[in-house]
Amino acid sequence: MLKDITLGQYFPGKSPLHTMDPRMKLLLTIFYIVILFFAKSVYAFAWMLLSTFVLILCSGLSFKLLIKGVKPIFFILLFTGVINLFFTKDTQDPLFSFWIFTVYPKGVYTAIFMIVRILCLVLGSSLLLTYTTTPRALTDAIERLLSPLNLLNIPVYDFAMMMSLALRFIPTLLEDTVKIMNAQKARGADFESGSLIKRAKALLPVLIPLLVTAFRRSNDLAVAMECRCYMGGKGRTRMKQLRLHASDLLAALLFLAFGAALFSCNYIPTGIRL
Amino acid sequence: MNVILEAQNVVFAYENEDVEARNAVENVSLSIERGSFVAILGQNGSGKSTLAKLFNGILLPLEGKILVDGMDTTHEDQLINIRKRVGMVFQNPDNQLVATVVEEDVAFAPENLGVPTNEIRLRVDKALDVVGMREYAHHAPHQLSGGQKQRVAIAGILAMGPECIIFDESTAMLDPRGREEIMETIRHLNRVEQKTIVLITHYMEEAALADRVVVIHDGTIRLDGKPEEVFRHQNELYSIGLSLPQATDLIARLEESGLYPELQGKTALTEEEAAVLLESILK
Repeated sequence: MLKDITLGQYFPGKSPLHTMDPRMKLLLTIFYIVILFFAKSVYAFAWMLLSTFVLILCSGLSFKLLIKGVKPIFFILLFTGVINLFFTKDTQDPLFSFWIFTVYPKGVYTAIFMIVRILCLVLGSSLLLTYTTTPRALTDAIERLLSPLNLLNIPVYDFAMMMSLALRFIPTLLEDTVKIMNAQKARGADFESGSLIKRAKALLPVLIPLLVTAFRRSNDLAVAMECRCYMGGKGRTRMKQLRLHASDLLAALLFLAFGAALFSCNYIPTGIRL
Repeated sequence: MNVILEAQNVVFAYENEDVEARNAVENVSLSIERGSFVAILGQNGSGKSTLAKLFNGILLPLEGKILVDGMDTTHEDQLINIRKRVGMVFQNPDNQLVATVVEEDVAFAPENLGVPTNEIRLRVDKALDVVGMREYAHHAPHQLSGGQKQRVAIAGILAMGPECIIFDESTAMLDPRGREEIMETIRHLNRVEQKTIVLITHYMEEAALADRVVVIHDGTIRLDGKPEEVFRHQNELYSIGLSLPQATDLIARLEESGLYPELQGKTALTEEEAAVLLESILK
């Protein structure tokens, strides 16, 4: 059960998206998300869908995998769609109405656009970031991008270290949890039946030893880190330095072009009002 | 200067324990020569791990002095130089690895020391080669076996460029195969890489591989000498809860039985030595 949890959902690969500098990816993701909210016309939405599709092709990941990734937000999509469909009011003639619901053409458009927007948002950001970037590269990127905060005496490096240690220890702590649960089961603990409260209570004898082990581990780790001359972020160097390549700049240019195109799409006249 | 680690009348006690708690290390003086392979033997709670932690400034002595290459561990500005020289490998491999990728973990110490980027790469590759883990450079630690993880931990220390490595019961959590892997690596580090090795253990078979064995009990040194000398003090070892390596024990008992006068004064440290000895008397 616990083995199925894969953090960050990283899928290894060698696509252009995988090899892009993580800092660039992080910035472009933010840019992409912001731009999506400026889409206002049918053409802009079509352009959005098309570019997300191109992004999928660039990632080299299979569609099957992506559909699996979108599944959890299926209900959000459905809910947003239905709400927009029935509760958008307009001055135009309604398409049809029954009971208290009246559906206008504008409602249909809004519903479709909302769904497309959320879909592009989720797909775009997960393709750019979580699917194609290792958690470690991501923490690195965050550290570098936030490094100006060091000047304000905010210990950015230490936070990044904590994040990467947390990532490092997730599999270890999961193993611990399984071991403790098995030990408790062997002594007759029952985690699977009873009411929700009863089951939550049954987890208490798992959580306490887990917490104790975690503390013990972190104490050992601190000593081991000290033995390896850890002194915080000051004066530290890197084995792998992040370097911007020409391809990263090209990616940035492509994204800017995408943004500009999306803006211009808003000005192409269409028959549909939003 | 041929002494790398030196303890002079060191006393240490842990704080906030029972009132009747005795000193964990009681007036210990010990010097360890550069390039030697020393095993520190003792039961649980004998103070052997405490001694190890004193040697690289994780713990500071209450009385007496610890000198590492002539540097006093109580001088805080020397601490990094001391830790650079004396690396430590601990018992639980999981609790020593900091990164999610093997090679990045090995790079941790040189990164901390501000080593230039290209040199880190060289050091990491070299360290992984020495422990034979180069092909796993891109693996995640949790995909490795216990022995492999421990070898990565050793590589992480090697990349720091220490002269001396202290192994604090580094084989205690491993299966027999992992233990063998680590002992093999330790011997290689001593013989080929010329590192000073301090092996803290309670396995007699491991101690038998060292050049010198120091037996600690209740925070004091009881025996100190070559393994074959130390293992002659059978009764003393038994009285403090230690035994002999099986091979040594076998030869000692045969000698005691008086059936084979040829065995008088002979001893064996490893199974191979015992086998050769037995073969010679049976012929």
